[in-house]
Amino acid sequence: MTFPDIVAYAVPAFVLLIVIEMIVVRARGRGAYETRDTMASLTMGFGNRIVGLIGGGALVYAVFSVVYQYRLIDEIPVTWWVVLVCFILDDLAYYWFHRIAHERRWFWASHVVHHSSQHYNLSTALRQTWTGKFSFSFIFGLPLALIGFPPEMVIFVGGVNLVYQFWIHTELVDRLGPIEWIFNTPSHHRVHHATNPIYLDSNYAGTLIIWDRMFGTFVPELERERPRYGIIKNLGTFNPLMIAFHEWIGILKDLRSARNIGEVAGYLFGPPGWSPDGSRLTSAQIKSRWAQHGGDRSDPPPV
Amino acid sequence: MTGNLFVDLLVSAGGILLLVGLSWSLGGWNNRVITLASARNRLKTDEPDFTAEDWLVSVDGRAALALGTLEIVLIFSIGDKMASRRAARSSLYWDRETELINIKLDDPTVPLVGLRAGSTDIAAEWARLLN
Repeated sequence: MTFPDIVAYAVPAFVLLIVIEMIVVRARGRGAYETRDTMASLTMGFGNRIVGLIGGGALVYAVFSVVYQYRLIDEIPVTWWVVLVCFILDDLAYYWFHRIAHERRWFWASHVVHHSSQHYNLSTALRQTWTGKFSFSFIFGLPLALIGFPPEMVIFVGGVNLVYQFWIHTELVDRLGPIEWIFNTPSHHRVHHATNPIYLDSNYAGTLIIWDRMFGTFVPELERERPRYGIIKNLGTFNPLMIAFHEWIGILKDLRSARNIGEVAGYLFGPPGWSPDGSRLTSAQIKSRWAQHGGDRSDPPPV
Repeated sequence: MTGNLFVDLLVSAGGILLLVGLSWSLGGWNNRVITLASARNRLKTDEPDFTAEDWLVSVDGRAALALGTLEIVLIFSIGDKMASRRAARSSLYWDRETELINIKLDDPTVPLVGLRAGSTDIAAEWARLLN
């Protein structure tokens, strides 16, 4: 059984949906599409595809194939329910990849690209990293190949997950009732993209929000707290090269000033914002400081 | 590269051109105008513990600089949004060209920011505050 490149098939739908959202946003005056921001996001998405084609995709497939040779279950049949199980397990792996991508600077250096827009619309979904595959962010999916799911299947369900996440990058869709209990939705993902202290480090889900509910990282969107999108230090440029590499440049600058192996490890694998003298703030410190100032006196209401 | 991949990339590139053109035609190319009030609000959000003793607000609305005793916060427009950076006064690079004060930070993600004073007298006063 062959699995299609679902992302390639989805591109025309992405374009059509962005056209529709642009027109609706303009008509309703809710949200905005800034031309240079949109161009930057789309260029990052295009670059991500190119990187996949010129070797990133082959690297991922090669590593998965090597691990698959040591699989624990020899003959997993390719049926619809096996694909479904693979998808659910891949979504769990995605949760942990995504969480660690926010908590460890090595992975954050690639993932920060996706959060670097101060806008939140469907074009933001396509603002993707150029360095993720080469920084081995795909290793979180390797346990699936080790279990015995064929690499083609694992890559396919990863693509399905990516396509699912496209539509949740919008401000046009409000809450969706009981769907919010199980699935990641625009409301949940707006919270994830927000820099408000109450929203930091939450809602890492890909498709199923149940993982955040299980592992204690779920935060609902609050009426009183409108999300402010972007990153703690928003970029002052639309240059795609700077968007792609700014955190890696920051890491290199920091490594040049490191005085011992502990500082090297901290700059590479500590949380984003870590510094030996505490002169910068991690998101946990930002949340803690905010809470000390009485920021979370009222409990968030349940969804 | 196979023919199919080439077509995929061509469709993607065409899509980008279409979307950027549509965004522009719908009035999406906007520059945020920064006023003293909006700069104060941004400072309160981004650097709540920072006390500004003086403000330099560019008359073209592109940037503002909050001066503290030992630190500064530069607030500048990026498209229709704003961004800010906090830095030690000692790390600030600046020079003056008649009415214009150019600010440069040691941060590759921040462009050279120009603060337009509106007159040479005001620029001279700003330069005195920066010294």
